[in-house]
Amino acid sequence: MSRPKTRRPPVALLAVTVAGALAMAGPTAAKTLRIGAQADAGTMDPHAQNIQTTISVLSMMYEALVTRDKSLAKAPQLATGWEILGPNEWRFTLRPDVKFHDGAAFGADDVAMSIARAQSETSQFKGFVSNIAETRIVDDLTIDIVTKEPDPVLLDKLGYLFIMDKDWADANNVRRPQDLKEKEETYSVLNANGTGPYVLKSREPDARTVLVRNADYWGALDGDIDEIVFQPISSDPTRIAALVSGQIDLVTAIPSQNVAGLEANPDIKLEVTDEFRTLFFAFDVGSESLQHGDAGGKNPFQDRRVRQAVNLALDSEAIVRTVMRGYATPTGQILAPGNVGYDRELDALSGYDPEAAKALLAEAGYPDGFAFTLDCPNNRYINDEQICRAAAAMLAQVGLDVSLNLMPRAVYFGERLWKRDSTMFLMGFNSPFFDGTYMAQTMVMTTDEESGEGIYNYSMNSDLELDAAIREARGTLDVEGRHRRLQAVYRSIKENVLYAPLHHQVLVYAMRPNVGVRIRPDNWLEIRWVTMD
Amino acid sequence: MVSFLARRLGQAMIVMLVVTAVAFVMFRFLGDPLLVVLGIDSTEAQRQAVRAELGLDRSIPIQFAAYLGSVLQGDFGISYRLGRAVETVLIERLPATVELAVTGMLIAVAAGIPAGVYAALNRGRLASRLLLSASLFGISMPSFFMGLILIWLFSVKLGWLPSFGRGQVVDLGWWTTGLLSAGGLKALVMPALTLAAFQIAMIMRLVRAEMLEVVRTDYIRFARARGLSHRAVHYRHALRNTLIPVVTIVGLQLGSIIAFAVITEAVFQWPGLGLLFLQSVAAADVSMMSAYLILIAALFVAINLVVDLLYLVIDPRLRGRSDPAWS
Repeated sequence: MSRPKTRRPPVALLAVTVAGALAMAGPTAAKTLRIGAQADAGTMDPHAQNIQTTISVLSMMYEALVTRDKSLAKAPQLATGWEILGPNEWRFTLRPDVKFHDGAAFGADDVAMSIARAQSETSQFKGFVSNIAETRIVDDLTIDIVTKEPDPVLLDKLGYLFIMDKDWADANNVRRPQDLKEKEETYSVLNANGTGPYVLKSREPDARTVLVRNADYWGALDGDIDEIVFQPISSDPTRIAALVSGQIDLVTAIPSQNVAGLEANPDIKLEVTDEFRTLFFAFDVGSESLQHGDAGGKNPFQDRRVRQAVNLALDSEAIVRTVMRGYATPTGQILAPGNVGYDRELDALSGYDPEAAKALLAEAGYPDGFAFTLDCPNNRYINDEQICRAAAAMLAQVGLDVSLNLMPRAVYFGERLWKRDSTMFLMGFNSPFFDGTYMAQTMVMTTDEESGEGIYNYSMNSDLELDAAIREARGTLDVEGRHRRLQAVYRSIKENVLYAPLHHQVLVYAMRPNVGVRIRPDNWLEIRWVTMD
Repeated sequence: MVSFLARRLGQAMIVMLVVTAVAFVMFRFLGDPLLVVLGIDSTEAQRQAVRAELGLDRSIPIQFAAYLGSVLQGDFGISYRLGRAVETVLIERLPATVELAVTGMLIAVAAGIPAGVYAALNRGRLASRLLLSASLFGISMPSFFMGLILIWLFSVKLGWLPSFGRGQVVDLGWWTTGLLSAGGLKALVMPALTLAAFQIAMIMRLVRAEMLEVVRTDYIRFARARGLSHRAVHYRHALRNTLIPVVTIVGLQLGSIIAFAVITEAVFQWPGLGLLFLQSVAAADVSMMSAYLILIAALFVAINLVVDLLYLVIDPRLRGRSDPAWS
């Protein structure tokens, strides 16, 4: 696909915009970065809401033991180092002389408390710490973490676990995240106290969150931004107008249909990165007859040939070209590039061939097609609604009678996927640990609520051989070995045509020319890498 | 009079009860609040546990009875999306919407009434024909489109006005206002104009029609015959009688402006009740949506009640008589 390079505007224009920005900043030389986003962070509590926007904003104030460097490799943050003591035991050495925003010293008891806090019933980060059996405080700056089972992605999970001060949590009665069931309103929803480079100055939910530089920050920042104003602007055209007219400096996640207009604007700079999110259709392969549809009492999607026919009927290149305006990469697999277990060869497309699709359907016993419902969210993924409309039209051309069922994400997940009540549906999976293990384990494995395996297996797929292969890969701590085993797992998924892959999403950020941003593929805005001239 | 009032209040109570019931039942079908409470990665066992704790597994009538009980005590529950008490958030957002609606209405009245009078008194002239066609635009243009055009012109091209937000807000303790700072006033201009556009057109057409009607009546002819000046006839006699229905409509419209500023608020990211409602819908924030609907219904019921009482005050014929329709 063609991808625009970052363009530098002519020097004269640059000078004008910089002068304009300075004039707007007022007489003081304080540098303020104004960020516009589609949605607001839901809370200031670091363990309450597992949503990327919330995590991104909180990462400016709170920090974890582990982070990512610019090559996306795991790097020390509040831990200076770690060693593996045994298959289930890790020792972390903590960074000395780190202070929370309120001046309290950071130490091992804060780590232990934060892990326990994330494990509490009201936390949405339980999944990241559920494999931790116990923590042992060795001394003030050393802590051992004991896992229940060997965990190859423990460090990756700890990258999401923000550390909160134990005394602050006690003083404000927030030893666990807010309990919505008890209708309690807690201090940590609107207040924050981390070790990060920015301190929360004011918070107006849905309107404006202001952060100021932490003068005592222990670490280094690429830029020298004094103040950050985070503003949600939900209407796309308004957000873009605010950027174009200089009221904000940076917009995250631009919708693909707006990219072309911004590209032509010399005052705007674009940054583009492949996102860790792949879109694909999945099928109910567990039910004996179609839950939503009619195929003479059978479930055609249990037949590999029918799934293959769907793959051949979908022109993913056309969807990328028209619906995504070129801002996506068509693919033949469900794992995004950059993950452990990713195999470039599997990106090869099945090819668009409606005639072959019709032949396969006839061979499988459906020469006249069959009727079924395609479920899609309309506010979950980039252009989800248009993708499904295009797909439904393409499937109709090979004789399938598709009724399209579009719904908001709360209904989509709550009423359809969670209840395993969908015949064919759109999925977009991202890999929080930069590792194919998580998707294989939670989406492909046979559902077992107890162990958390297959909790997203909305297809009701159950392949014991594949389960065993995934288990083996999961237990391989060494990255190279796991990488090879996962490649085999994803190859088998592709050979079985369990899904109908569409494309890897692409992230586009737009900014004023004086702003420099490095986009993380998981759409986590790393403020430590943002610069402003 | 007393029985009239009692009957009206009784009717209002029934309306409120029905709206509360509808709000409650309707939002059970709008999505699963557990998605917000637990996040996407939750297991069926966890969901069932929480469903039981929240009482979502009980039958709808029992859930409704419990809800009604706490609403009557002023407890609307907690917003699943924001993690804060619903009534706190509503009170926080109310000033933004009220300031926007009142400003929009003042603009509409200030522009609509003179334009209507002019169009009525100068029938057939080019200027009044232009006014009439312009008002057709105002009535038929969708407000999001109007908002986007204003943003394009005044923010992007001219750079005069901010395209989103409330600007600088002064906190008075019980009320936040954008009317006391230059930034706040600037931010108010475009949303208020967007909201006013339809109202200007409507008020103008209403005033024109009423005025034309009144000018034909006998007492105006009589006033003319007495040799009163045009000015006195038009403004002291005709306009005053024209305004009675206009005032009623403006009052009712103010209610609908507050209730349906949703689109304008979304276009300008105006942090009021409408935007709050939209975001609550997207997140299936059931308690917030129900409370919003109840609040809006209460507003309409209150306005209607006041209007009914005003009729009683304005029109003495309705008072003493024991007309079955009014008693």
